[in-house]
Amino acid sequence: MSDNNQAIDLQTLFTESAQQIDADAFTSDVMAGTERLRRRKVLLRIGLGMLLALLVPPLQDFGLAVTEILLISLVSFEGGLLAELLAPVNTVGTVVSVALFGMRAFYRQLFR
Amino acid sequence: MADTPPALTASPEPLVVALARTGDRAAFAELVRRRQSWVRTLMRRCCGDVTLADDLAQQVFLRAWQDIGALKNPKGFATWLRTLTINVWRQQLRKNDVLRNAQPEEDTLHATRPDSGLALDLDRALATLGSQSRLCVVLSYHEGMSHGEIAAATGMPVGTVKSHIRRSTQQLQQQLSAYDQRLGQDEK
Repeated sequence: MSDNNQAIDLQTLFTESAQQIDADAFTSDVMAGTERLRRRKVLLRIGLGMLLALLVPPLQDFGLAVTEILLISLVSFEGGLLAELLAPVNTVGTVVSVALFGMRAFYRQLFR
Repeated sequence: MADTPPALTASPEPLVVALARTGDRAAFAELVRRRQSWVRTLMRRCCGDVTLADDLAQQVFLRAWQDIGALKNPKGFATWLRTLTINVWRQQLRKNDVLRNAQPEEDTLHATRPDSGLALDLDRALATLGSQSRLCVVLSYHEGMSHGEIAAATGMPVGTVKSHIRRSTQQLQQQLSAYDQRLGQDEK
């Protein structure tokens, strides 16, 4: 650190001027602050919980509606083996997926 | 506030830190009690305003309470707390030009430290330094940190730290020359 006599003297001044400061009032203030932080955190969690509780039913309804739309068959078959074999790809969801993949490939073609 | 259990008061710091990390409020209060004087004095040396220094010291401990879970090694608590203190002070420096408010307020200083002529004069002398120089000097002489440690803690290049300390040391020596002579006499 300091390597001359002047510096050593200054260090002595700093050491001599150091004082013990009363701890009680300050500690009480800090602990009151931690209590405020704790309360704020609890309130924030309650708020988030309430927000989620409010948002979950409409989000769930929306999710169900989208799922129903995606599962609609594109071509209706009169039963039989062919209907069962094509069932996984014979949906709106398949078209949407293919469209999304196509758009992604197109985007890459354009901007790469 | 509830009294600290006697067992906690006598416990070694790493144990108290480990307890505080689990969310033990009594343990954290004990840490505040042990370290408050150090942090507040460091802040007072940095900003020269007793009220502001205590507010900032409180911020340091509140941040410590929030982040103490992230402290991996309880033995490194003092260093970690010092880094927090420096960061809070630097954040304050960035927020506004503290130098404008950093002149030692006679009334406040006298009211809180009636018999501290040296501390008062030292604060006055420190207040004449620029904020970066002052931080370097305080960390060097008050905290006993090396130039490399100060550079790492403040993000300043080592050369800048050295020149801040060299120039500020000369300036402080001139302003506190009376104490220098007194110290010389004491040593004899």
